[in-house]
Order: sequence, then C-alpha cells, then structure tokens
Amino acid sequence: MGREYQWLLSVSLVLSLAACGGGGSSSAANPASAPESGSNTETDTSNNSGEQVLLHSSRGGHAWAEFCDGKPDNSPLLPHTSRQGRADRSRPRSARDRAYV
Amino acid sequence: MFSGQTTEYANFTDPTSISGSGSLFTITADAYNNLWQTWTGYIAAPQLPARPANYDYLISQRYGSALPLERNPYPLPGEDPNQTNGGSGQLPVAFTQLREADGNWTGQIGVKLCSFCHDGQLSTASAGQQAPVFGGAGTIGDFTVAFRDFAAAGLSPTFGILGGPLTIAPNRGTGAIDQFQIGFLVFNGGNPEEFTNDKILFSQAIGNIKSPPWWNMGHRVQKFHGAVLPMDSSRIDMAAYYPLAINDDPVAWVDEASYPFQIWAESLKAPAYPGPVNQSLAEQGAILFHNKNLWAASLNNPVPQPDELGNGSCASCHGVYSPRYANDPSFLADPRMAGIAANLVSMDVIRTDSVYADAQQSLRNADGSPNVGIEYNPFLECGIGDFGDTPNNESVMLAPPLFGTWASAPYFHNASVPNLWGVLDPNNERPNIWLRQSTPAPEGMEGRVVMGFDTDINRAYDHEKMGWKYTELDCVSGFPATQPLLNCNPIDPSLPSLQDVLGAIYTEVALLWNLPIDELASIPLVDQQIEARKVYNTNIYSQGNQGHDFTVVLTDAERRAIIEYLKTL
Repeated sequence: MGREYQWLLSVSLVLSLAACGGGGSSSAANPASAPESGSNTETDTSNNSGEQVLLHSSRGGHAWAEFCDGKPDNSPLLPHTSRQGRADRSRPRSARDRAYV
Repeated sequence: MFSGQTTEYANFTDPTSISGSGSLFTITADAYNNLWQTWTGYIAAPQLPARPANYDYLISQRYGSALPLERNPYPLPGEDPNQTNGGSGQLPVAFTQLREADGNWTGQIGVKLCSFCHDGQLSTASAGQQAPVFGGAGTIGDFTVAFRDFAAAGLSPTFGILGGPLTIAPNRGTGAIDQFQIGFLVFNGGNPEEFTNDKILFSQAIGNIKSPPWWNMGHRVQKFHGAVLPMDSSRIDMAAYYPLAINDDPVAWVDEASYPFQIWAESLKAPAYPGPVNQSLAEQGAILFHNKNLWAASLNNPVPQPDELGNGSCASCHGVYSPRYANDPSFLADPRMAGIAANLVSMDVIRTDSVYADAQQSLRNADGSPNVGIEYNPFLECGIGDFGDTPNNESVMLAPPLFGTWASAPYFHNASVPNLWGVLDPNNERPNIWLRQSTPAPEGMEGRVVMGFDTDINRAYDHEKMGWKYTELDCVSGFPATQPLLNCNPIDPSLPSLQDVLGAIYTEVALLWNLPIDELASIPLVDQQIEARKVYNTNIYSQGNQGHDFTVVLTDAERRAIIEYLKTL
C-alpha cells in the first residue's frame, strides 16, 4: 500500500472514530469574557456591502472546542477538506518548519 | 503538587506517613486558619491580634490568588468539614481541600501550583465584581509568600525550602516558571547520572519570566516563550503534579491527567476588553497592524531588516486577525489560519532580554545536538521544539498570538514593561525600576496587611497606554527595595552594579541563580520584604526591558491606533 493510501486510510479511521466527546468538549469562556461570535470559519464577518470587516476576534480558544461547543458527544467531526498546509514529511525538518523573520 | 494523589497526604508530625504516596505539600485546615499569626505587620500592631473577619479576602490579596465565584470550601475553626459540606471558609483558586474517594472531606489543604502563575483576576471593585480569570491575566501570584506562611503555620519543611531559601520566584507575579535544569534533574526518568551531566550543571539560568496566556494555546504551534516543545506535548502541563513519591507508573498518571487538561486549557477564551473602543481609530489600527512596513526605506529603521521580512508589519510575526486580511490570499493561504502566530524570531531582530533564549541554547551541544538528558525525560516524549533546530545554536523566541493582549500586561516574556505604549515606543514608558499599584487596604488595616497588585480595571488600569499603572522608583530613594550597589547603581543607572557580576556567574552555573544571593531585601521574612517583592528592577539578571525597538519608527498617532485595535482582539 502506498504512503498516500495509508494516509487516506488513517484520516478515514480518525473521522469515523473521533467525535466531540473525545476529551471534554465545551469551550470555556472566562467570566469577564463575552465572545462576540464563534470561530472565524462559522461567523459572517462581512459588512453590508459584502466586504470583509476589519474588526473581529475569535478571542483565541481552539477550533475544535468551538466546533464541539453545545453539540452531543457523538457528533461526527468535519471531513478533512484540504491538504493545503500539511507538512511535507519528506523534507528535512529544518527546511519545512523554520520561518525566521 | 508533586503528587498524583488527591486524597493522600504526608503529615510531618507522623513520620510513618511520609514514606507513602501522598503529597508533601499540604497543610491542615487548623494550620491554614492560623496563617495570620505569621503575618508580621498584622500581629505587631497595637491592637490585640485575632483572626481577621475578612480573613479569606486578605489571604487572596497576600498570595495574589483570586477568590472563585464557585464554592471552594475549607472548615473554619471548630467546623467539621463533613458536617458543613467542606466548611464555610472560601479558599482562593490556587488551593483546594482534599477529599477521600467516597467524597468525605479531609480537612487537608493542597496547592494547585500552576494557578499561582497562570490564573489571574480582573475586577471592578465599584461594581462588586472580583472575577478570577483562568489561564491568563496573571502575573499577580506569589507562591513563595504562601509557602513561607504554610511552612511557619504548618511546620512543613517542604514548603519551607521553597518559601525563601531556594529561589524559584524572586518577585510577585514572575518566576523561573520553566527552569530547564531543575526539570532535567527532577524528572530524570530514574537516571541519577543527570546529576553529573555537565550540560545541566554548567549551563545558563533562565532567570525570571511570566506565564503566557493559555487562551492562545489553540493558535500557537509550540509551547513556552521560546518554542521549547510542540503544542501537543501535553505531559508537560502536569509537571507540577508529577507524582514524585509513588512507586507505580507516574508517567501513566501523567498521561491520564494531562490530555483532558490541555483540551480544557486550549478551549479558554480571552476576556473581552470591558471599556469603550473607538471603532474608527481601531480600524485605522487594524490597517496599520497588518500593512505598515516598519522597514520601509523611508523610515530608516535602526534595527537591521530581518532576512525574511514578510510585509514588514506587526502581522508578519504576530499573525493575521482582521477578516479582511485573513480572507485575502496575499496574507493567508487559508482563512482558518487567522490568529495563528508561529514565527520563530531571531534574537538579533527582537533584541529583548536574551537570557531566556540564550539559556535554552546553552543546553545544546556545540554541534547543535540536544542534551542527552532529553532521552530520559518523560516530558519530552514528543521531542523538543524548534529552538533545538536553529543553525549555529542561534537564540530565538516565538512571537505570540495577541488575543487578550489588553489583559496580559506587563509585557515581554519577562514582564519588564508595564504597558503596551512602552512596547511600541522603546524611548518612553520603559521605567528602569518600577512598582505596580496595590489594592487599597481595608479601612483600619492600612500598613498592617500585605495587599496584592490592584486588578481593578477602573482604578488601576491605564486605558490609554494599555497596561497597569505604576510608579517609577529611583535607585537611592527606593532603598531598601531597590538594593543600591547590589541591584542598581546609585550614581548612574546606566553604570554597572554587583548584579552584573552575579549575572556573569548565573550564565555559567545555572543553579546558583536559585540561591537567594541578591534578594536580601525580598526574602519573605517580614511584611516589608514581602512588599519589596512587588518592585520590578530591570537591572537584575534576566529582567532587562530592552528590545522590540523596531517600533521606534511608529508615530504617536500610529501607536494610539494600534493600541485601540489591540483592544478588540
């Protein structure tokens, strides 16, 4: 089995087994916090003219915590839609990770 | 702390209990109720001293740990905790009363050490709110003082060692939070040869740092200020609870506990800025933050241009936040990368105090290979972070995400700059020696009790400069807290003091930093010394306030706009 198929199989297994109940799923806001919205991917951040706004913040947190917040433990996770940005493990670590400025 | 047991504890008055698996860092509720008897300012007053009516509040202030909104009970004098649902006293968030497996209360109080450095408090006293903030807004705790009190009231030698004779945190709010050398020695995987490892013994002390906020954990790829570990190295989160006493498999306990903890910590959100925001000014700031090239030719930036500049803006290092830019492919390949900050920055560019970053590199061998100790250390199962992969052992720091920046003062990794204006203006608001404002003492207790840093955002927060209000101290007039000659030069602040000699020693033999050589004024023996721990002296080893000086090219108008924008993150 080629490496590509092994990877696809791994992703499929993860998606079929994993769910929101894996390790505690509720996002926790600090008492003083009042997040104006959820994750960047789920929030309409455009203005009336359709242009993306300048001011918006997710206030940190974690994408999975936001996705799972309020969902039952057996909720299926989102399918992996993009391999963009996935590290090329065949390259030396120093070449693929370093991002000096 | 240092125990996986939440039910067992060692009692130093009963030697047979010490060889068991319980924690060595607990005290009885009786001792806790008598802590006030060790407060030198309180018991020296002319009034007949008695347990203060506002005892829980005073403890919260003295140790810098917030009182939680939920019950965190302990039994008051004369109370049976199992007849009073734990008791009617309220512990601060850094402490907890241990319970048996069947739910019975033990009346024994343990320490949640992480909380002292990582949890904070933001309050509006006028509104009667004093809410703890979990995982951030910290830099207020002083566990050294708490341990000093616990040692005295509970006759505990373990608390006593960490309550002054062995320096871990020399100041209120900061400390050697991730001191690598002690980590290698304590968590050596049963390999005593670590105690003769010359890369441990003759390496550089990391000195004093603050804890980065946990609400950024989901947006940074590596842990700690200096890219020390991959973010998914959850074991390290349990380091302060690693069971030192049990003979079972302590790593198994760590694995069971650390993953749920990290999931929780990653889910935390930064608190929203509570004041009004000038939307128009903030929008101007957002444009500057994401677009202004600090190295544009016309600006003649005195800091050498980085090799990989990006667009030269704040966002190049700290990440992209505005939806307008996060959805622009010329900024991010995928908008889901918004808020991710992953740039490893050379110290030649950032130029902040380099002790922490240099200390990390001192653990590497000359050929760049890591210290052999990583093979024994169970916390390094996922490998080390990118600090261990720099060419020629170059020192680096990881640029942090900026969520909740408004609640993260003082700034830089060592908390050396009290407000964000100083971060953006290297020629101003960089006080040499400074003192953060304290909470006013309750009426009638002025001068008798140690109060914590004031976290009232109406009273103690500078909303224009974004940070906590402070008073600058002079080396001479600030005596004894400033320790002239030892920690500052009374003739000219720019001239050396004995601290420079000590710094040279700490650079070569890390563990000497843990001796209280230069903390004569702040070893917590009496209340005056505890007050001195609030003074931040940038002349002390690792506490320099220099750097980030490429921002010198900003105008004041631009600084105001960027600060207004950061209030929205």
